[in-house]
Amino acid sequence: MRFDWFLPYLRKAKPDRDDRSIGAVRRMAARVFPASWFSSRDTKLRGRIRKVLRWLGPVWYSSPLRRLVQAACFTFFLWQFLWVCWPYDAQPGWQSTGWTPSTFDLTAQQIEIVREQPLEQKVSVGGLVFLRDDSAESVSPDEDVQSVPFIVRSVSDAGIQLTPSAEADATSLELLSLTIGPVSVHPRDPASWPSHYADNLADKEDVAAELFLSIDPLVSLSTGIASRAWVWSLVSAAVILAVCVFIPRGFCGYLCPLGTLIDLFDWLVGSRVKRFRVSGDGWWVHIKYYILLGVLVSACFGVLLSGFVAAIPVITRGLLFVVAPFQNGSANGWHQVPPIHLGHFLSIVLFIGVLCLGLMRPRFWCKYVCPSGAVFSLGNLLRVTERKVESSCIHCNKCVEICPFDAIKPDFTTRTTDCTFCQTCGGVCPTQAITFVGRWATLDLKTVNEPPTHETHLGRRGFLSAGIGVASSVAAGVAAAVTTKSFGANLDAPDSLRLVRPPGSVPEREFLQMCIRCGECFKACPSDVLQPLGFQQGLEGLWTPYVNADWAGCASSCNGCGQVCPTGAIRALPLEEKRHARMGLAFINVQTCLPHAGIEACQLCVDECTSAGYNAIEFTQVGTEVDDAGQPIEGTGFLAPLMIDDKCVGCGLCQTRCYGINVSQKKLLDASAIIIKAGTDHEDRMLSGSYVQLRATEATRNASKVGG
Amino acid sequence: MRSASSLKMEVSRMKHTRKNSQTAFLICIAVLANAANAEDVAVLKTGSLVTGTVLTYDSASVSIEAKVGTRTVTRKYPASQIKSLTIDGVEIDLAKVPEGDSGVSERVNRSQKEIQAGIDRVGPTQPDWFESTPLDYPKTLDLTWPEKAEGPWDSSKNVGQYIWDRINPNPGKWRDGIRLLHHIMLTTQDKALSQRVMLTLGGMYHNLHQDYARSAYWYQQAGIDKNASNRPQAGLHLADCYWQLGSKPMALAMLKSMSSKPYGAIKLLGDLGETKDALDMAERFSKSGEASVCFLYAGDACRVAGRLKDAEDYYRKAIAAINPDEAEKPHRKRDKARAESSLAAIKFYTLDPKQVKDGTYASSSIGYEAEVKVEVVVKDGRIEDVRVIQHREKQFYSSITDTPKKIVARQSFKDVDATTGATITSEAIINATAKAMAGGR
Repeated sequence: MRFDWFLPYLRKAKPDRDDRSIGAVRRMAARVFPASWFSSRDTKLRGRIRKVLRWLGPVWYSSPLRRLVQAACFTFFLWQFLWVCWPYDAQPGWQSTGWTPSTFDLTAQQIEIVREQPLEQKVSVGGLVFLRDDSAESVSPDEDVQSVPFIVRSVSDAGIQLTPSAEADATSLELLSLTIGPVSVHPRDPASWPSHYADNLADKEDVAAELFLSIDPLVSLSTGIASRAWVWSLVSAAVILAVCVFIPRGFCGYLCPLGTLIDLFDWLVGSRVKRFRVSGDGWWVHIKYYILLGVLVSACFGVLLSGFVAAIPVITRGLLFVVAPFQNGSANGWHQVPPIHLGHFLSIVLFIGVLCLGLMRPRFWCKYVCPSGAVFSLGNLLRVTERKVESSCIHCNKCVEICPFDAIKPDFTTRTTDCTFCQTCGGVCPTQAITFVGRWATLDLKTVNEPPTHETHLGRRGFLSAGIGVASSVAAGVAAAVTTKSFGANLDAPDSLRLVRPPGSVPEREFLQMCIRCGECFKACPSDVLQPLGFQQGLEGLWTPYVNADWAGCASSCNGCGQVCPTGAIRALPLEEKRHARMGLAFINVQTCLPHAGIEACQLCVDECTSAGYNAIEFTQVGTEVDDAGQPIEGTGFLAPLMIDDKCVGCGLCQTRCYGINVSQKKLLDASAIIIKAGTDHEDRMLSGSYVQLRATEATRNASKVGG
Repeated sequence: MRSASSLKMEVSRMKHTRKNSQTAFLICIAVLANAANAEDVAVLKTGSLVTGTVLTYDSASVSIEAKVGTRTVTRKYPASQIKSLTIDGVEIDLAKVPEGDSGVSERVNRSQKEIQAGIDRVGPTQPDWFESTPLDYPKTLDLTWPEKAEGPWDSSKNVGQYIWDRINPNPGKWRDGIRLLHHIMLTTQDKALSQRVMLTLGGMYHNLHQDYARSAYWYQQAGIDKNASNRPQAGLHLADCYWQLGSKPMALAMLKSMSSKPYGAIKLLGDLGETKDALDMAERFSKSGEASVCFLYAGDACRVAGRLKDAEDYYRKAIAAINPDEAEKPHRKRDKARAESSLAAIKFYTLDPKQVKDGTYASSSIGYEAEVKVEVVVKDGRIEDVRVIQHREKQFYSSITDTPKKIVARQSFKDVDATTGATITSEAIINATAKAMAGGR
């Protein structure tokens, strides 16, 4: 059984030669497309397809399917990163006001509303809309106006015909029937919790946005080891490893967006700059195994280093720090781009370094350094398919020259751990001697070590050097773990730094063990509430997400960070859970808070919290003067904010507002007078379980504390 | 009831109070049909049936009290929106009913007996939301609530200070407040404390919930209707409850019975239409040291009565009356700002909506805490909508919805009375509306 999909070398058919038969796909295509597109074996004239591919380059010409898959995967990766994880096209639910009911027949279930202008929004017939009575009379402080759901029967320029939905509350419907307008139309219950960011991501995320991260086996493997926990993406990693049993290292040759980006870099830059080229094999040849070992060893000590070196986190974070600021800045304005710090800088240097390795040799990173690739290389030991060379090989060396992975030995046989099954060699072989077949297929193979390769088997020196390599990588792994821990978060110390983490983050210790530092959550976070940490938590917290509430507050309608987290360091919470998950608690500094300090009236935080729907900040009267009888004097003192801790989830919107107005704009304060703090009792950090339940339990407990 | 409104047909449960040629006929039919308890029905242009009690109707509009589920709501419809109207089983042709006062009054007149019956019926019951409101208060609170709080101001300990600091400023806690007060009343044997709770309940229902029947009930339970001499503020509120429930004579009688009257009485007298008495009172009280407040109220009373020139004079007097020594105090600053913004707005009070081009206009005026911003929609010479789009008023939330409604209902702002207890906010809304519409001439 063959696993060939390269474009065979075009040669003249000869009766005495057993040429490869033309595939069924090719035969079918020949019926549909003009004959001029196809090459002829009789004349050896290239058809249009071959001409185009040849113009694109030798790799396209030899194995076009592989390049197509690469291009598709890379485009898909970019599309996911730049579009799916782009929250800014989310629109809050619209409303269309000023409608007048022209028919309101409850017995016939027929309602029609009209307006001079037609409906400016699209609604689908059969879909649900909500009507709200906007007439002044229906509004009173003690009368909660309910919106009523209706099914759209038809929409025209003349008006909208509706039928009450089965869920419509009878009283609310009857109340609504009393109105003569105006009424407003809403796509969802305007009183319900907003969810436009969450909906937007869910709508766009037909395929998980973190797909590539979750199929990088090192990501889930190291996370699983470091946290000693089940990481759901291990499943995807297992699937991709199973696929790679059939297409050995196919991930590297076909799927990996970093590999494709490196290919692009090598084509654009690497092929033009020759001065850094290295020849021959050096000490670096097996370094990827040692890096992998080091990473896994440190993971055993609970220190997760794979984010620094694993393929997909490297490209994700690279794009995040290099490309995303430009996307954000050009779309939303440059003031929306958070300032960069040493952490950003280090990541950018690392990313550029990875690309620049290509100056030494094309795909140097992939061949020699990438530990994710090393996982697949080891996985290749289980391969069931293989590149094989038949005895018709004429030692022309074309395959060796074109192999991007240096996977062909000088005797033209395969370095099986390195071959990515890209099949480029198959297409350049003038004698069609290269085939991709089952591992145990019996063919008329060429003799091994002919011509002589001068390669030595693993002798004493080889064994020694491998031993030294293993020993030193174990030592390096341990050292890295110890260094990270000793310059780390130091969580056992009572005064250790506690950062406000994204909503639904697992407990801090596990969080540091599970966060791969890929940066996907930053990308999905509207207005950059989440920002990468620098060295405040030492090495251990580098690039982990924390809430910078001076910059922005967590949008109440968003649950993006958890949805895109590949390792579950941030739990993928439904919005209903997320809005109860406590990131921290807000604390008011009564020394500086303007009304508390008696300086001036201010209610920014209260308004912000109320409009976000948490209602966690109430007013309290401060500085009231009393008359001689001890009675308060009307109009004295200020209304000041007061925290209702039970309702606060630490979203930070209050802090953002206070900082934005009182610190940045008015320059009345040096720091926000209301600050979100994390730490014991201030945040919910759970590996599993419901936050809604937690809040309910808390409420019952608090209720029992109160008398009565 | 203002004299002009006597043209209007007042339909109350006491049908015999009608003063109209049709009345006798209607009563006959009603009796014959044995439908004295039958519900009135208005069929709207939309086909909706509104079933309930017609409060008022004339050729321009119909006002109906309808019961929906457990709720009682009042809705007012222009006659053009009514397809047919049946009162006590008799169909009314609105076109043949004489036109009422164009500044249609929403006020219903009820007899003293009727009002007292209403208070006694509704007062002892709990509001709909009572059962579902959790009892929630700090456990540090001293529920014995001594008359005079010991020690420094401490709202986590003293009930009165807790209400002042925490309940009043937070609309979300107003129901909690009622719940807490009832809880205290149920658990105490102390007569004096019970009385304090009743008074506070009356104040809370009046100021926060605008539930005048329950407010009046608790004031009456506390004995304010018999003797308000020690509680002038409560007496004033009770008088306002009577007025809001529909009886000017009861309100006047209540005011008269009070030996000492608070400054707010000037305003209430003005609202009742007793402008002369109000101004006399203002002059008398102005000698007490709160002249600026008195003159502000006097100005408001004149404005409500349509005496704009006098109103202007009083606002000027209010500014002049501020003692320079006190000019920097917050409440004096506010008096001054109020008078100034009333002066700025008063020249637009004669503005007829018909002079204003169609459009949406916005303006603001100084309120209790800060500027109150209002948006006015004018269409075909009618004030379509008044909406408070930005404010910082917390204490008296009710006026935020109440005052705009009144402006739209009357199609005018010059005789809209400010919500008692929320004067400053109401005035700010009225002034802002006037200024906004002036922008559309």
